[in-house]
Amino acid sequence: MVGKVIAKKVCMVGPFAVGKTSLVRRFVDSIFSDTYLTTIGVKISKKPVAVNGDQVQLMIWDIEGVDVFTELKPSYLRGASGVLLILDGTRPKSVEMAAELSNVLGEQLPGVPVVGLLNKCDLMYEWKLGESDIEGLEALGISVIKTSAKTGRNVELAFELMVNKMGLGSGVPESP
Amino acid sequence: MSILEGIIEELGVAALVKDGAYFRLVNAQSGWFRDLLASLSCPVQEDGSIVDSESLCHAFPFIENFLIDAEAAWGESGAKTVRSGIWTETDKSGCEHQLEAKACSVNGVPVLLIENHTTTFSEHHGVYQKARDIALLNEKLVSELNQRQRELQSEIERYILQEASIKGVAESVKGHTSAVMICQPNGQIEMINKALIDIYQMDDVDLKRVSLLDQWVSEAEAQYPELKRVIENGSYWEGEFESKSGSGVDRWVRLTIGPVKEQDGQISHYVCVANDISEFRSLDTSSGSDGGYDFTTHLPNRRHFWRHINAVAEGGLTGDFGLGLMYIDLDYFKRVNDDLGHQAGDFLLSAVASRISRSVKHHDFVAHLGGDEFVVLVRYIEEVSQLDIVADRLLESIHEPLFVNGQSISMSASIGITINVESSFDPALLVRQADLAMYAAKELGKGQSRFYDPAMECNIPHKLQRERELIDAIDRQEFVLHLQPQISISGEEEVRVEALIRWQHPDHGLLPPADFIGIAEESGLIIPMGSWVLRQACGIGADLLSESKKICIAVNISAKQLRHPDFYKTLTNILSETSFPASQLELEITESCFLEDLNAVILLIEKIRKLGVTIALDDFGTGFSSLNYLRQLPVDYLKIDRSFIQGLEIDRESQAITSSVISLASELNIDVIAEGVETEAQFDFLRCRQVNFVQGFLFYRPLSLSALLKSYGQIKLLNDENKFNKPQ
Repeated sequence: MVGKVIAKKVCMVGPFAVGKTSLVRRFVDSIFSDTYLTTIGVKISKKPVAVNGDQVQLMIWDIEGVDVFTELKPSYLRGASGVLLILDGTRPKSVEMAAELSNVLGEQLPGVPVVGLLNKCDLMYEWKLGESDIEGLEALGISVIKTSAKTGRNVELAFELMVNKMGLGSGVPESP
Repeated sequence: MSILEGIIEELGVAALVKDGAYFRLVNAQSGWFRDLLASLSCPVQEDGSIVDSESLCHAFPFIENFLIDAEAAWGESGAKTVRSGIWTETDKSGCEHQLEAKACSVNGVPVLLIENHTTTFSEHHGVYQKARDIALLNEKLVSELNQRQRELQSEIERYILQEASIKGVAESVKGHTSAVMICQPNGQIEMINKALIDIYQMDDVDLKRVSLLDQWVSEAEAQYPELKRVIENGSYWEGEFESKSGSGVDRWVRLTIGPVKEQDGQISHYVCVANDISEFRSLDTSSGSDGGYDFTTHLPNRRHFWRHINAVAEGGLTGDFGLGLMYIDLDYFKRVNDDLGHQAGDFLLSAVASRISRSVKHHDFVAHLGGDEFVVLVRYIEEVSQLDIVADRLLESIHEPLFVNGQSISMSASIGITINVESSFDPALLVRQADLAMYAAKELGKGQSRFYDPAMECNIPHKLQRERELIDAIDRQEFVLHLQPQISISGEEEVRVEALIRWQHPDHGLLPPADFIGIAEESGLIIPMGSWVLRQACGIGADLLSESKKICIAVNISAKQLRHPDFYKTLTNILSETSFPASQLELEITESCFLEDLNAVILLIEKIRKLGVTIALDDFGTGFSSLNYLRQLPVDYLKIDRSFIQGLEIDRESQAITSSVISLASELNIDVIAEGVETEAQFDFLRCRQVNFVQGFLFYRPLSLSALLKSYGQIKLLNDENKFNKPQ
């Protein structure tokens, strides 16, 4: 028996050049490119996932990264059921912005789950974050997973965790 | 196609008029839009002019979201236009279209315009791409620059300490790209390099005429009111501020200032390293943006804090609530930073930042002012005692052990607190009061909190005055030794005591070590004071031995004393002068002695043990203790810190740690001394676990020599009793 199809909006949010688009491309199309191509505005991708017999259509909003030119537009977050906050583990400056973004998310989407992805974990020799950074993010109420859009590490798991946190799944997947 | 439709088409716009649940396409022949709709399986009427709202939203989820803003604009009177921002749609063939929606009213009729930017997008994208590539590079350069500046600062300080030469520094930094200045504490310049001349566009004669240090202090003061106090206190400082060059142009500089101290602790020079960061800053300032968060800790930074507290002040306080400000400064952070490296230092700052954040309420505001300084703005204070509770929680949380490079380190902090209950207040004054209170807490021995008291305003030179008094006290021999017995449980008959210094202050009476050891450590006076204690203790011991009273005396030796190049010589001289047998002397050292150059310290201690002197590891469990690490250290006794002993009746953790330490020490043939034993229950616990010695108020407080002499027989008796009551 085919269950109902539920559409859920998930926003990809974070500073510029942290790999938001790469993560979406890895998750949706299973491809990766090393070339950095900045996103302007929003691009919405759809990905069906099966959850407990139901089909969930994830509407993934890949939102332009935040930098000195661009602020996060609160209207893009409207109606989101979950947020993936992407940070770059090789750039402490990107993590520096997590608190600011977390404040915006808390104001615009109270109660909506936020999962933090520390991306680029394949670059282990350039990795600059420690356990204390992760503790700091967790203190902001953000669960954190290390991901790599390049190798695909934990990408599926991150979205699965997001789905679970949105109350759709059967439980929180085991940590890698 | 009408001319109007043709023009709209040429502009790449699809114009839709809202009519109830439908949208009517004004330029019904719009090729690109109809193709896109078809590609997205959006049903349209045969003539292509009508599309229902639901289908449009289904085809364009982005528009579904935007229609909420559009409805609001259409509902408002006046000609308000809202824009959606650019989004990208991919058609069936995989081609991407960059679109933007606009909602406006024309003669009261709601209109939705969808603009196609695809043809011009690559140019627009190219500009953003370049800007972000540059920003990424900029970010990387700033990170590297900061790292290198700190390394250069440490290298220069180390060089001056080792070589005692500024001339050598001048030679090595002559062509360095970072500006370097070495000056005396009064600002008189002793050395500058070309990079500094380049920043200030003044020749070295002009630069030496002005006091650049004073200029920096006054320029940075608005942002960093504590700068003067920090450097005068002999601490490291770093920050970024605008500085005026000789030509009158403002430059952004990133400055680090580190003191160089003489052996007696007096500041002989300041090493200042500066970089012109105007170019890096221009990107931020031109866009009017300020991240507002600290690079290392991700907490709001200094500028953010000032914006916040000013906004709170402007809003005024309402209701019966007060506002508390806590100024937190980590103790001995520079030492940790120097010993373990900047990366470990950054890790510590980060960890402390998250602990502070977790120790306060959600509506309180935590900021990292830079260096090792944090502030907490505590809102909604009903009673002052609330702040005490918060401060205790902060101190406790910061003090919890942290693992860095495989070592366990316990940090401590000094906290200054001030409170405001008026509806209006001056933020700068509040910060200054909290800073002064923090300074007072530091002076009183660190690891504690102090509330602001107006009397502190006059106490700024207190530390310097206390230092001068200490110098006089050494000359005038105002110190006395008290001796606290250590009672044997393991059957030792010998009387053992720990020598503890007290200061018989001419005005303030007998002062405990907490009131002056911190200042003595920082000023370097601990060296002569430590020698006095050692000589005095050996003298007392020799006198007692001559009266046939066998005694072993333990003397505390600070890390600074032990590292002093003359320590071994001083020790042997004193033993020889006093004729006190080395076998009757014990040196109590702490784990911090091993923080720097472990192998050299081990060698020194082995050499001291060869004289016959025994070594006790004091305060075990409070520093970077690790039971495995204990195996490497050449010690004879281990003193379990009083905090574990006091916890024996309260928590299982203290019991477990104490038992493990006793058991491991026994395996390693190290005798264990428990200090701070105050109750029978603690004593029973320790006796059952076969600790070797106990020390604490349950038996004796620290005694004057005459009181010790009176109790000498009783101590021997206690040793004997314990010997017979020893559990099997």
